[in-house]
Amino acid sequence: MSVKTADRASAYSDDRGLRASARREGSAISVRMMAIPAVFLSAIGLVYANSASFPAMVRMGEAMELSVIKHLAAFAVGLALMFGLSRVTYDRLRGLAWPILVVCLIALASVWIPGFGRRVNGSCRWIGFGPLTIQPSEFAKVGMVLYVAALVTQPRYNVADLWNGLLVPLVAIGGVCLLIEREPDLGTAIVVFLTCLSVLYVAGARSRHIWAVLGIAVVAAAIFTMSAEHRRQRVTAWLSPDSQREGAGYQIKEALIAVGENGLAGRGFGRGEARYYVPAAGTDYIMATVAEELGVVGVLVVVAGIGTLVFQAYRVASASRDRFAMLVAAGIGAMFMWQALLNIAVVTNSVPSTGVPMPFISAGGSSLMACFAAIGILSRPSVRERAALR
Amino acid sequence: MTTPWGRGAASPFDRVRSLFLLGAALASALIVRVVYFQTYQRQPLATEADRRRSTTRVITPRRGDILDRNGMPLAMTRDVRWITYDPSRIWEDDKTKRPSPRRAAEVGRLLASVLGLNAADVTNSILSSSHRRGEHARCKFIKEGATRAEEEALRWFMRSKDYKDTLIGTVVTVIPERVYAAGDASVAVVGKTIPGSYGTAIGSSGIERWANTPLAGSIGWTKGRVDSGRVPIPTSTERIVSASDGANVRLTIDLTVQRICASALDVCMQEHTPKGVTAIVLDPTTGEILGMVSRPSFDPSDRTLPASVILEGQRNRALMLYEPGSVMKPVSLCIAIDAGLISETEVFPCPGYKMLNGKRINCEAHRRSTPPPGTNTPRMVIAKSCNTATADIALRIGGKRLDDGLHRFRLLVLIGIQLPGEVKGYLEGHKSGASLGPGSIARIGFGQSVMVSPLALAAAFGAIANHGVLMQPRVIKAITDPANNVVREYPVRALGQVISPQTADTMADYLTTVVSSGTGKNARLAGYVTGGKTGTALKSDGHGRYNGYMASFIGYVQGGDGRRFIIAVVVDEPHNGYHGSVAAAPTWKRIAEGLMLHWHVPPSPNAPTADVARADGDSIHD
Repeated sequence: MSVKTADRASAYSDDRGLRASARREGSAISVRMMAIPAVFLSAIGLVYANSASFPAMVRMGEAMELSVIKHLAAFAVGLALMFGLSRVTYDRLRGLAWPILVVCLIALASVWIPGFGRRVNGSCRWIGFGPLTIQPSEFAKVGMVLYVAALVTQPRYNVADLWNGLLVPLVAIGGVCLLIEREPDLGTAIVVFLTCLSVLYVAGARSRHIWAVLGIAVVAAAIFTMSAEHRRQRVTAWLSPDSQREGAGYQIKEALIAVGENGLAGRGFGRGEARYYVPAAGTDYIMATVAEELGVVGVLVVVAGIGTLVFQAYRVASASRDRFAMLVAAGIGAMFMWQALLNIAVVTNSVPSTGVPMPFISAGGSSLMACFAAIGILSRPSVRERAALR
Repeated sequence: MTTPWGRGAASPFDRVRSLFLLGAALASALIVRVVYFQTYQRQPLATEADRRRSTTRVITPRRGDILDRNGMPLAMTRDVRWITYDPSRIWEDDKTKRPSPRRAAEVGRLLASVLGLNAADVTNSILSSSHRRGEHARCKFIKEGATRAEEEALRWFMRSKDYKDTLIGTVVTVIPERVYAAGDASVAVVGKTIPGSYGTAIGSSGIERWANTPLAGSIGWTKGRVDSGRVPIPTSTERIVSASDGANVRLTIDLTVQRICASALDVCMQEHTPKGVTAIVLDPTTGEILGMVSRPSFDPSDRTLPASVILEGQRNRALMLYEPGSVMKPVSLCIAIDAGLISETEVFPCPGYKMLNGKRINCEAHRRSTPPPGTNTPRMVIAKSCNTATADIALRIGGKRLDDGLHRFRLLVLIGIQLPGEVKGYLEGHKSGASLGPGSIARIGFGQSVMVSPLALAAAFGAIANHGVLMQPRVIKAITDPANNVVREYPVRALGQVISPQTADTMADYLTTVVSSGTGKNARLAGYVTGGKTGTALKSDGHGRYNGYMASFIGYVQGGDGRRFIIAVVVDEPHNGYHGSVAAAPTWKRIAEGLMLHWHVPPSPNAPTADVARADGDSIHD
């Protein structure tokens, strides 16, 4: 950072404590430290999401150019969101948390409005304005982090207390997760659930409460899964992918073949074949193509990119003296972490197939924009407090 | 414990750290899992990938054409485009399994306008629940034999955004089909094909069978990966063995000659209703077969014919052995003259029959009136076809020499024609000439107890017309690659001087007497020198004799330019006159006439005029 900005940063009177804390932690953080890995990951995404979607698009008779232009537009909007949100103070964000949640809930509900909601492959996940479509659940992830962080930092709540602190956010989380699951989008619902639970955990909820909630969720999920034939089949497909020649088992097996067939070195850039076999090659199974073409190196690079972002979130959280800022930073870090983990876990058949997009990489403008918005929020302290954290 | 962050028990910094450490641990575990798949599981996954994704596709080569001597196609492969529609793509629902009438009408209108059909017909065939031949639930014929332009127009509509949903069940199948330009005229020599594997065709008779290997080419294949819709993946590394298209076979056959022969044989079939008839046209100087037609026949393009018609029609009667009868006499006499056993002026008295070992040999020529003394010279023996004299001459030749002579004429060996089904001629009941008794020798002399093929006899007559040089009969001139470069040539090949030129010329001259004043007057052709020999033989079924005849006429026609052409006509069991002179000679004349016209052969100045031919008209005997 230049001397000029450092001078300007030092003008804030309330920076003294932060500076001291940052010095204690030995932190050095800036918006660039987060923007660079984010842009790097989205560059990989621009190449891989579009090339991996190509065969499916040819089959559907869609134009490749349009997809690339949409992707670039989402990238540009995402960058604008990132830089815009990095200028919004945390106090204003805290005040905006409640309206953001309301907007998210309305948007989530409006996917069911006929003519407004868009149905693709049997899922009502999108709302449309002419040629533009938006997936509200992607933004709801970020919104929920802000909302839960704002809620638990209100003085009248104590998250360590089940009835007078933990229950309200849990009900809100449960409601939103149910809305998302009904779309149906189980993967995103799980990510929202784990992210918000992580925020509650960091906020100081008792471990036994967290375990209890997790346990109830797992039992409920198990009952829910076993209640429908197509969900039971997903579990069967997870346990023995070879048993199904079609459907979930087919996709999982093809993804595993893509990951493993070419060994550690991969088949080579641009030479992958998974996109011809894996139906969701450009979105939820993007890592299959990355692993197929670039081998374990590609996986490591992506994991390192996400890891850098999560690590920066950890450093911001550790450096924060403001409880809301810390919870937001930890929550956004947890969001990226759980989403990436779940994505790779699905591709490697480590969990039953519940697809979520890989942040910054999978195709999908809403996901890309929401991720950049999250980075903008995350880098807020680093813009405001860069002098202290440098 | 009190922290600045509230009344929670644990420090939030510890919790953030433990949360992200948990994440790091899980990430490491997942990377280990990726490495596990890429190392330990690599081989089984690669095997599974090959099993699922690899496919071998066969590239069917184009079967070569069969061309006549002038390059006119006798058989060629063309692409037949079948337009079919799969009605299951527009089912109203899966329970009724009936196509929706509204959508069927939509499809019908579009297909009909593209393919030039009636919209109502197309709609009805899509909606119909009954199946035409070859149809089933997933294939309703819309049009068989669409043109290339129609196919391209249809494919454009199938690609276009506005129409592809309507045309979703349309299937265009391109099938190679063998077409025979000469129709039924050339089946016996060109042959036909039966369907083979991978869309290839296998020759089942004629040239198609004999030259199947060069015609068929070789199948190629590609081994590569395909996507779930069986479409090849562009990036997959393919192993390719390229197909090579079949070679073209150029025949010595002349398509027009085939047609001339066919029409002449058709007349013969009508007039004499025989079991079958065959004609061969041969150039004696080169051995090239210019025409080779058998009747009955069938049109190989007609796929509705019963098997019995096809089996009977694809027989090449030019190669079927038969007892030739008197057409053998010129060969016997050639052997005798060549060995110096008879002279041109020697007289062979004939009482009308001959007793040999207590068996009577009748002479049909002199049954009613024995020849005036001093007239039955070898010339008249041939002209009038005297059995008694020929028996005497054959006995003079003797078994050994007769057998040798027949072998020299290649009548008792394979002559090596490029057609399947050639059979060696043989002497009935004997392996060699040394063991022949006098009865057999006498009968072989005038063409009985000996089995030869019309083709072999035609070749032997060719040697007589060609100054004693027997030429190898050929039906294939050359094999050329698809670009028409000659791959293999079958050159003119002489099989040897089987008789001296003087003997041959003498016999050629005797043969003209047959036509001018002997049994072959019906073959007389005004303006051209013609010489030939009739033959009428009782058919043998291998056990005893029965009442059926083989009528033959084999001879040459010579124009003003000196070129000679051998024509052989053999009629199997003719009615309305069974003699070779009646059943075969007029057909022979029609063919000869057609040939002279076709080739614009100038008339011969030496030939007897039409007036002379008409003035001389006594009874005809065999």
